[in-house]
Amino acid sequence: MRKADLEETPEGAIKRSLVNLARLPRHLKSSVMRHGAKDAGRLKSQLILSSIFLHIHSIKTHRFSLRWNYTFGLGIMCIGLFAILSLSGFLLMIYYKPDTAQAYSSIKDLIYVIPSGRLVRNIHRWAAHLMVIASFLHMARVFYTGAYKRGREFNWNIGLALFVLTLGLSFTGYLLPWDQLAYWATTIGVNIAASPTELTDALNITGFFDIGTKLKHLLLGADQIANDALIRFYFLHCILLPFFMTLFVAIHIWRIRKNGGLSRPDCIDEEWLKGTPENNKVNNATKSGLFQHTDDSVKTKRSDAENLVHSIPHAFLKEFVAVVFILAITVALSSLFDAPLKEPANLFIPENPAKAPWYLVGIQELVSYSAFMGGIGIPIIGLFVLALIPYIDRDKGAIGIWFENKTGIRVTKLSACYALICCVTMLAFTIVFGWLRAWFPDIPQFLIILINPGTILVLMFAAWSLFVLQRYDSIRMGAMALFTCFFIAVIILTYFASVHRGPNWDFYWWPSLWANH
Amino acid sequence: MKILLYISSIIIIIFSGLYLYQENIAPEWRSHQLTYIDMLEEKSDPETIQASYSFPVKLRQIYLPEMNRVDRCVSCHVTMEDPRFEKEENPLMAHPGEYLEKHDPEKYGCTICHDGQGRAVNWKDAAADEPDVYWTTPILRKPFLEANCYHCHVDLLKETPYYSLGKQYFETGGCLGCHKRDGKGGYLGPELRGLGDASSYIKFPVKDFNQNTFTQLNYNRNLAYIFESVRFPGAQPEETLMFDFKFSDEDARAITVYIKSLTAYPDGTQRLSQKPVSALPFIKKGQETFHLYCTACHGKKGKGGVKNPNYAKDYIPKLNTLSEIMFLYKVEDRNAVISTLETFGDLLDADPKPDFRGFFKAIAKYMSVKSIILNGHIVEKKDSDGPTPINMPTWEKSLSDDEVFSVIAYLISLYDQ
Repeated sequence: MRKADLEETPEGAIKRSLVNLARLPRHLKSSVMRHGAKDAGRLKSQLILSSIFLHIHSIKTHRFSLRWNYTFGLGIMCIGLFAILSLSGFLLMIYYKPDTAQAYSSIKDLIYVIPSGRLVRNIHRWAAHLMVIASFLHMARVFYTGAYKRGREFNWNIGLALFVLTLGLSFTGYLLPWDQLAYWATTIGVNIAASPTELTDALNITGFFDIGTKLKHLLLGADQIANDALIRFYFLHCILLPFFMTLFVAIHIWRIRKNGGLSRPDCIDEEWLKGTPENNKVNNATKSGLFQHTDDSVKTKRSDAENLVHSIPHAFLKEFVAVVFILAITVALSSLFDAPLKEPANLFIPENPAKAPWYLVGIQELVSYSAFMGGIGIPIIGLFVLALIPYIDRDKGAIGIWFENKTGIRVTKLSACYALICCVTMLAFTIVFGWLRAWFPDIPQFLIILINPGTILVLMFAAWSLFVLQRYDSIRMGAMALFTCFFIAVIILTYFASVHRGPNWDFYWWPSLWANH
Repeated sequence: MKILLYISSIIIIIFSGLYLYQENIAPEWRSHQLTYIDMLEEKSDPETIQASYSFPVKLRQIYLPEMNRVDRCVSCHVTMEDPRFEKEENPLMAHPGEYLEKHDPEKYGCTICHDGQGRAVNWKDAAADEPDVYWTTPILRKPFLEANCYHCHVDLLKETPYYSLGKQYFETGGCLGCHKRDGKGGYLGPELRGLGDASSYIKFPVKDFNQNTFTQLNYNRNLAYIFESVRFPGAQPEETLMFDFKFSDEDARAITVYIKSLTAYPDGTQRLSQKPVSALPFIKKGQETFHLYCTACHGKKGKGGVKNPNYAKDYIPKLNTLSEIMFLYKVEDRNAVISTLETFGDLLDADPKPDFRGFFKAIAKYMSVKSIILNGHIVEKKDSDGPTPINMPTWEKSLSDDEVFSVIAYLISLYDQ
């Protein structure tokens, strides 16, 4: 409490209490903060440093990082969505019964009689969808701003792990309602996991090395999706995967701090900083010992300490807004569109078409060409290449700028067009003319595993990337071409498989044309 | 940025507020129960006013753990057991008839008879007969409701005329010549037990239903499927072996009710059969078996006249001339053979053998008829490249020896009729 407060305190006890009541906000603040406004800067640092939850966040944030059109808040939205998912998940866990006999009816009860149960379930569903989208876009943002360079290589890979975990969490949650949609989508997913059998069959070694079936058994605990599988998915969804998610999220954020905040250009134009909060020079002047530890990047401290502002309140406020924004979207979607729940799962009546969850239908499209290549081969190649990118692309290019420069924008546009044309042509070709099996019925399966529309797309993308690499003599440009191809291919395959694939995985112009739905 | 924050907050508050209000404060059943209280007060005798005060507005349900059923129908249908509400309109109408006296709702619930989604608390989801409500058993309306009585009852009930008619058609029409019921019957058509359990989402038909039929059957896909296969056999899979029996709509409905009742999961812990089943006379038994398995192809009383596509002789043979074929022109001879069949089973086992001329000629014919019944018979094609005609199925697995003998005895007895 400040001395001024004491001096102004009036005589009468009633007056004193009234004055104290008026000063409540200030006193409350000071009782929480324990120090006066004089040391606010120091206090803000201490608040972050001494809190186990906040200390993984940078104490100071660069003004550049506060521009909304640099990050679009995608990363923090992912974390916000994870928090929404955890909280709504806790509520759902109270009512959900992980048993094949009761799971479906517990969801029905949740919908019909548990107060607000339907809303909580909708929120959980929509937040999960949004999180897949947000993390995908976040990955693209980090890539296109070159934010995986200079000490951030490993963090890029942790991000990849987080993306895979997000997909894993979404997928394991899909089975739990135990309805037709869940059951058959999961069946597709599990068949994707069991797809190495196609390769071992083609090599004729399934007899003693049946890795596909082993994987399937590991996932299901049985030959078919039944109670064992439900318990495993429940455990994965509620305990194991969220545990690793929390752990990796913590490391992910902590490493951002250790790298000196978000990536930003070496030379920052004053123009870019317009509209961001100014540095409070007064606080900066009273640098205390703690401040020396606020930033680990020696380089930034030397050049740009002027433009660092306290994370409290500036960064935290922006982050808060991003979270509230995504929460608003989630709630609005949840109110307008109910999460689907079909009939109870029935082992004997397959859905037609049985589609994987939408974020996996792109892979399912590839699986329809070759189970092994589509389900295991190409996704693994994709992830492997993504993981390698920061270690291959070690050019001293600019970071922190979208698409790096005009060449980057050009390469990205060209690659997007190229990928679009490749994918559409390939899909159209496959639909109109069929593939090897249709022309040569006796062709060995091994050849189809090697040569199918999926692998040809991969080869086309690799060739394009090499061409760009040589043409511009820049690894970064080659990587950008490759990533753009991957980005566009994922979107097109996902769109194509969810909209244009109907019963028996046949091509349809529109889902309303499916017979008898 | 502040504007974004404000807009987001307002969206969150408005959307979640409206949704929660709609979900928790303004559900359908609440208004129905409030109307019920008002109506009680209108009836204005002091006793009911007292009752209306003690009637709490709350979610009501019948919980039947052993059947894994929760029927929340009573949340809206609160007057189900109140005779004063006989003339009101649904949902505040008393249950018609005297069914509830014998079927205590607390013990049986609602969906056991009516189907529909018991857990739902709004009419659309509870009835579940609209395409965007995914539920396996849409509500059953008259007359299809009758089918569910026979999930527990075995004997015919007087309240179910459609079922009785349908059963009669089924058991005299020779449906089992091609279809199976409880694993017994021919092999040309599908097993019928469990067909009524097929839930609405099973897309048996390739084409969509005739919209008119579909409307008549309350959009119940299962009923529509059964009805259409009975009424228009060619409408379902176009290449069907099933004959068009030219049923009227009413008859087709009755048969639909009967087939719908053939569930693979009877609800009662035990089936309620009250009448003892007495053994039938030998000829009667033969007649019954013939009706169940044979009439569809060989005609009523074995008169034949059913066309067999691409069969060299066009018509499936008639059987009422069996006596002539066996050279049994005299009444005494026929009776001797019939009583031998009844007493000894196979004619070859007869000891002592019936004493009339021509018995051995009769045995020769009898052997060939028995062999055709037991082992089937592949018939000659008219056009050798055309479709396969209907062949005589083998009955060795489905019919007991006794049944075969009784059918032969019945056919012999048909002479002159």
